[in-house]
Amino acid sequence: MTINKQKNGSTLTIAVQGRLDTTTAPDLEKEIKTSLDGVTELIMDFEKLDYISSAGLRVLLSAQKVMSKQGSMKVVHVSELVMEVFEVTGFTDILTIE
Amino acid sequence: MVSMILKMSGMTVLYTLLTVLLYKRTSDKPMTAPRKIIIGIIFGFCSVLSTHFGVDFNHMMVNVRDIGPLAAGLFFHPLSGIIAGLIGGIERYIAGTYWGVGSYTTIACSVSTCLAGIVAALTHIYIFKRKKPNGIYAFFIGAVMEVFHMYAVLITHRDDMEMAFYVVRTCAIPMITFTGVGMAVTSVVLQILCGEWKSPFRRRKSEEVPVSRRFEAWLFIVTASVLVINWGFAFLLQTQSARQSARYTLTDVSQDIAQNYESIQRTQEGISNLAETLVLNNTRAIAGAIDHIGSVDEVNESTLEYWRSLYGLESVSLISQEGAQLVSAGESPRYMGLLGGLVVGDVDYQSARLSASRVVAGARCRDAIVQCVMDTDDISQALNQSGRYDNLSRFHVGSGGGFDIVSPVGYSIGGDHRGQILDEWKVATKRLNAAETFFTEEIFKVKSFCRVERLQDGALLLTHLPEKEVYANRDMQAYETALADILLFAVIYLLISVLVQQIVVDNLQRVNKSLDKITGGDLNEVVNVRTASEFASLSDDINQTVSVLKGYISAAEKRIEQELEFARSIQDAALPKHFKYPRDDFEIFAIMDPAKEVGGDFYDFFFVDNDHMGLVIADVSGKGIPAALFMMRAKTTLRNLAESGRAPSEILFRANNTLCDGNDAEMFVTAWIGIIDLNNGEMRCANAGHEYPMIMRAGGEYALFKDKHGLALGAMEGMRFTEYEMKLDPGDRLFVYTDGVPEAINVDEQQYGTDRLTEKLNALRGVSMTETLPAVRADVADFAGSAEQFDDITMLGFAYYGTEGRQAP
Repeated sequence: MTINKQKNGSTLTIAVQGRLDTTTAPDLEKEIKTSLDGVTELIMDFEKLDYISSAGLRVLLSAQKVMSKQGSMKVVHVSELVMEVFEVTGFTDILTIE
Repeated sequence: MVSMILKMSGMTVLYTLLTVLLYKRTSDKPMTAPRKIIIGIIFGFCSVLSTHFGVDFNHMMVNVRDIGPLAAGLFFHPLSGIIAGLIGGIERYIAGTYWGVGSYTTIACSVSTCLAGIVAALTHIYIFKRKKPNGIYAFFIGAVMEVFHMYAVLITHRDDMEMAFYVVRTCAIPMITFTGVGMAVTSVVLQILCGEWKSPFRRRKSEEVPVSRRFEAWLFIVTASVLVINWGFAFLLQTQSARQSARYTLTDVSQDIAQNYESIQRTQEGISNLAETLVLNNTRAIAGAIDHIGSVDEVNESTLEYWRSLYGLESVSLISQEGAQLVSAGESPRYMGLLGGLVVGDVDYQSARLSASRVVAGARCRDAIVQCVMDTDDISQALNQSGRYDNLSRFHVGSGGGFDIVSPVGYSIGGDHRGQILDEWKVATKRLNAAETFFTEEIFKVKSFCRVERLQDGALLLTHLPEKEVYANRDMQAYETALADILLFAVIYLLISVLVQQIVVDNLQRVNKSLDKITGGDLNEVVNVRTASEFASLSDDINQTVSVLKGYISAAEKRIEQELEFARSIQDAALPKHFKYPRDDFEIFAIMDPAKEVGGDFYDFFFVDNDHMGLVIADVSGKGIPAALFMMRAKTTLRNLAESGRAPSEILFRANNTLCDGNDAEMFVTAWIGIIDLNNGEMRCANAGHEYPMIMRAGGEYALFKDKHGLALGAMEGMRFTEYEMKLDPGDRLFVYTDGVPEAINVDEQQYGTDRLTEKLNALRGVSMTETLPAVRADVADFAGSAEQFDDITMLGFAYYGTEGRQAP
């Protein structure tokens, strides 16, 4: 998995590439945790994300919780496969997906 | 001077531009052999051009030929440097030998250009490790190369030091400066282009400075100061010795001149004495002759002239008692008065000196006085011609110095400016009065070392030697020593740097590399640097630390493994294992196959009451102990709520709130729950973010049942879950599973997928649930092949047969 961060003012875009599973989720969690200070809009770009497991969902959930307090978060460029996971797990209800 | 600086700057800038252009064109391409050779030829050609477009400076040609091979070797490839050096050097030799271009320095120039290519190649490989040197190093290499060039000029002309020295003095500064600065500028521009440039003036924290750099800095300071001090002392000593030797020379010459002058004086005295006697005798003889003639009146001018020439006199006169001149031959009236004064009185005859070279004598004869004047210059000249007299002019002071004997009124009576009035006389007198025998003064428009002495007769002897001549040898030596010192310094510096690099820095880096591997997780790495006792003991210490650490880690690992084993068995024990019930209205079977670690999947089934059975399948996010603990919590909560007879939506609502409470770890669990009425097959279900169930209607095929989904439990408090109902008819089957099944991957990272799952299940419609699940598990395992199972694989199958009981399938 590779993580690409791009900060533009208070907007942080994190592009994730590859598989987001139990082994890689802690890396993303650390990346997000250390860079959310002063961010009011978090954009998760999943264009190149191949797979997301429940551990990945947990990271999204905790990011969503933080961002609900200090701004907004949206998930963009979600592939069909990942979208299916979001639907099955009910994450479509709590995430802003574009 | 200015034109030389401008021209040289222009050439240096051209070199820099060429290097930068070539570098930009080649830096992104591989350095192939033809490319190395072409670059070598280009720089060699530039070297040749520099030879022929040298800049005239004080009759010498200065150039920047050596930048060519240096730039090619240092910034491109060692081979290019050597080729450029050979081309530049050999062409220089041919040009010098056959075309007469700067032939004086042919050997020195061609050797040093060839050497420049070799030095660039060697330093590129061994000192800079094939990286670009920074500006300071580039400057030093360029400058030291030119120092060698100059030194080579000196040592190839041992028999003609003065000319060689003139060449070196003229060329050294411009060539050393321009070659050094040219290399430095080129290096800095290249570094800026590559984004590697670091300002050497920026103060760096000590942790950023490598050991070698610090060592080199100190080495530079120490060696440079030792050499500078050494050079300074030698220079001082040489100066002292030059002054001393100038004093000796001046004193020696002065003494000789003084002796000679005094001996001339004495000779002059002797001649004068002799002349006095002679002239007196002659005068008496003439007086006697006149007495013999009888009357003064009979003596006429021709008689006197006869005597004058007979005795070799300047003049012969006859003077009356009263002092009036009667007759004269070769008469010189101005002596009259003097002689008149002398002979008046009782003195019978007298002789006296009129000047340095004239004597006069008088003698009485009948009522008159005979007066004769003799010029001793004739005698002096005769002596002089015989080489015994006035040979002051043979004296030399050095090659450019001189001397003068100055009379007390400032008139040179001997030496280089004989016969002139000398202003320098005043300076000399002043110095002498101040008791300064030796002094340095601008004399005859040349700054000179001088010596002044008062001779016995009161005249001053001033000897002087031009300062340039006094210090010529010292300056030559100073240049040569300075050049030799710089070369020596460069060699020592390079050798010690290389040694430090090899003995200390390289070994440190080897240790560090091993440490990096160890910190990177490879505990089997062994540090083995045994080139010095310190490194050996460091290696041993590190290895020992690592092995102790390994022991601890493996102990800890064992403990954790054991605990995980326990956790897994507890978790496993929490799942119901009895699938056989003493009734035949349904069949249930479940499998939970955890991944390597303990996971968070679970299934559950239980009787709520006699007719209602609860089915649960769930998947906790994440793995390990936290997931296992959360799973236990979720399972207990769900079962407790279900057993109290609540509806599935209510169960999930409450379970969610319970699990959200204090869920700091932000874990969640997806769960599907169904409560079936075994009497009629009516089942009420709710889904909290779990996989879609699979339903097979009797006689039909398995298909995903896309139910309404809620959010996973524990994610957000207060969520409501939709409840739905489905009716199972006898023969219908229900299959629920966790994502470990469809998301199992093979070595190509392809997923097993629900399509494959449906297909497999359909193929198993004819066998019982108890056989179906292991067959599905086996199919998943077949599909995964050697790929590691990274998620728990859990499934639960339920077949409803209705009150009629199970028919044989």
